[in-house]
Amino acid sequence: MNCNDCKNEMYQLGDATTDPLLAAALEQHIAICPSCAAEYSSMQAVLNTLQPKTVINAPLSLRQNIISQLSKNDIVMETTIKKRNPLSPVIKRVLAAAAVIAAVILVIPFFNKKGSAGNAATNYFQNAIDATAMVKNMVIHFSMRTDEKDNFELIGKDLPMVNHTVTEIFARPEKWRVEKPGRIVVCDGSNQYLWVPAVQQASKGPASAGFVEWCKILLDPSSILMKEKEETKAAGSAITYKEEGDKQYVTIVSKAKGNFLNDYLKNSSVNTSDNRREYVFDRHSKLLKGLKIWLLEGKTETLIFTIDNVDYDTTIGESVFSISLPAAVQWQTINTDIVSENFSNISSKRAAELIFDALAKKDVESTKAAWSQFSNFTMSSIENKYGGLQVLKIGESFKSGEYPGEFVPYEIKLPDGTVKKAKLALRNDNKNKVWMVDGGI
Amino acid sequence: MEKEYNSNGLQDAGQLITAFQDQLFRFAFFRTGSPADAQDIVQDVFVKFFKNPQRPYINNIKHYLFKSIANACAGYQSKKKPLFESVDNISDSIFLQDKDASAPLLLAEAYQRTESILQKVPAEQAEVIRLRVLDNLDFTEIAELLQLPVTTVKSRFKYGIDKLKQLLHLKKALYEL
Repeated sequence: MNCNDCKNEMYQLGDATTDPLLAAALEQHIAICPSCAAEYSSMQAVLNTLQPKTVINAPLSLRQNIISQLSKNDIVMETTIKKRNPLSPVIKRVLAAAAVIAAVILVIPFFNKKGSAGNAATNYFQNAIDATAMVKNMVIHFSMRTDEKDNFELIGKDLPMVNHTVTEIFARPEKWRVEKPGRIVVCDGSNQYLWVPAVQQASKGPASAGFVEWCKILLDPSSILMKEKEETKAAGSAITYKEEGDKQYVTIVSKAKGNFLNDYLKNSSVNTSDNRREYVFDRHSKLLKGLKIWLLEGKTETLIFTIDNVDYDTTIGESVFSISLPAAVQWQTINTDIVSENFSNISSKRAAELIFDALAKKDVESTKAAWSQFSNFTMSSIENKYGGLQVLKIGESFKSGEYPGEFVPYEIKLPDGTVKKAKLALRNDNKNKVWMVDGGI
Repeated sequence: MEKEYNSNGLQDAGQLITAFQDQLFRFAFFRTGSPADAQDIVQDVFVKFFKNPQRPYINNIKHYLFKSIANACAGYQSKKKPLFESVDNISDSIFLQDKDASAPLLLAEAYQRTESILQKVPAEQAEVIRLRVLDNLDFTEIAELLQLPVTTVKSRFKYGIDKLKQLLHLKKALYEL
């Protein structure tokens, strides 16, 4: 490629539809030609100037308003009923099993929008939504399959069950704490604080920081209940309910898509899995008391998430919303003003490629911007473990749930021969839209 | 990702809204200059989309939503509302997620700054740059949205950026004098 061609075509760099051969030729030429590098830098400067210096996202109320309007009009999924797919063998099997139980307890499979089980389930969820609105605080004890050292986003069916606790006061400003053995996040109403004892990472961010990732949804149980209420009206799910003693149970069996949990999972290794969710409500208070989620893969059922208990309006001390650090550790305010030409104006997949390439070459320094939220201690551990790795595969990036960043599936071979398959969490919701590693490593 | 949201696979309105709301809101915001109107437009488009009996037959939902927002914004412009409302009139309530009193001001600044730059190039070039840089659409998506050949879209982008590059150089040179 000559300079003229390069200058004429360099604007195509960064566009997802650009021919990879052209992109590679442009990058190679820019790397060796100072004149074209200057021209490219000048173009990047224009693009950076155009970028807003603040993250512009839809207001929280937008989504809620749309859902409310749709619920009011009862129109969600109206058209999908007409195109309902035949039941999968898995759902048929589950229903067959349910039919056996029906002799002893009230279990009504639900295939019809107007079915009584669906209506009953809808009422349970609506009652729980109403009751939750009156709650002043709550403590949720739950477990999910994850790595206790990793972030709050990672869920994997082959990982161990790890105990978590969510503590929240709903008064303004909201204060909360999300905790598992290897990681604590606290919001004191003004800031979020992340403490990872194993790597001595103590990060401080604004109240809107995303330190709790996927688990954020548990801070708003009403949103889960509202989604499930919608599910009870939609076709394609099998819904049963029963009442036993002081408890009311609603079970929903559906495909691995369309609920608050598995939009992450469906993009991973379990994309063909169905799942079953069992909700437990208190008959008197109407509040949610438990939730269990199983993945259904063929004949295998794997419990991946369980809320063991929820305490409402209990006594919570102020000290819960602060973290005492060891004397030698100070809170590091996360830097949202990182500037990096290499890690802005590119796709998250490309960012992941650069990050792993650098690790393969043991040259983490060249990708420092992408690791800027990590302490030196953590970086040193990462370099020791991953330096010299071999990249086997980098997949297509995807978004999931409420997480503001993207996930890039990868498969690498570590220097010790171990093959690791996981998803790198990257986010660029910072001032200069620089992709930064957020977890999954 | 797009395939997950095709009409046959769509099971969850919330998931679809989550996937596209930020991008659509930004799109509407940079064409109306008003966060409140942008919110109204996006809300209206989503509700109409879910009400649309033809929804199961819409193949490219992303394109459909962007096109709908673009049409709604065009209608908004034709009503000759002020391009940008006074900062004082922007409600804080819709920025609850930021929990930051400066959010409306930052949005106003972002809009005015970007538009003041884009006004320096012809409108058709500015629109392609807006779609590519602010809305993060690729050239093929832009071509579909504007119903133009991809080559036209690319040349508009290139000429627009070249012009801005010259202006930036000129500005820099003036400052250095």
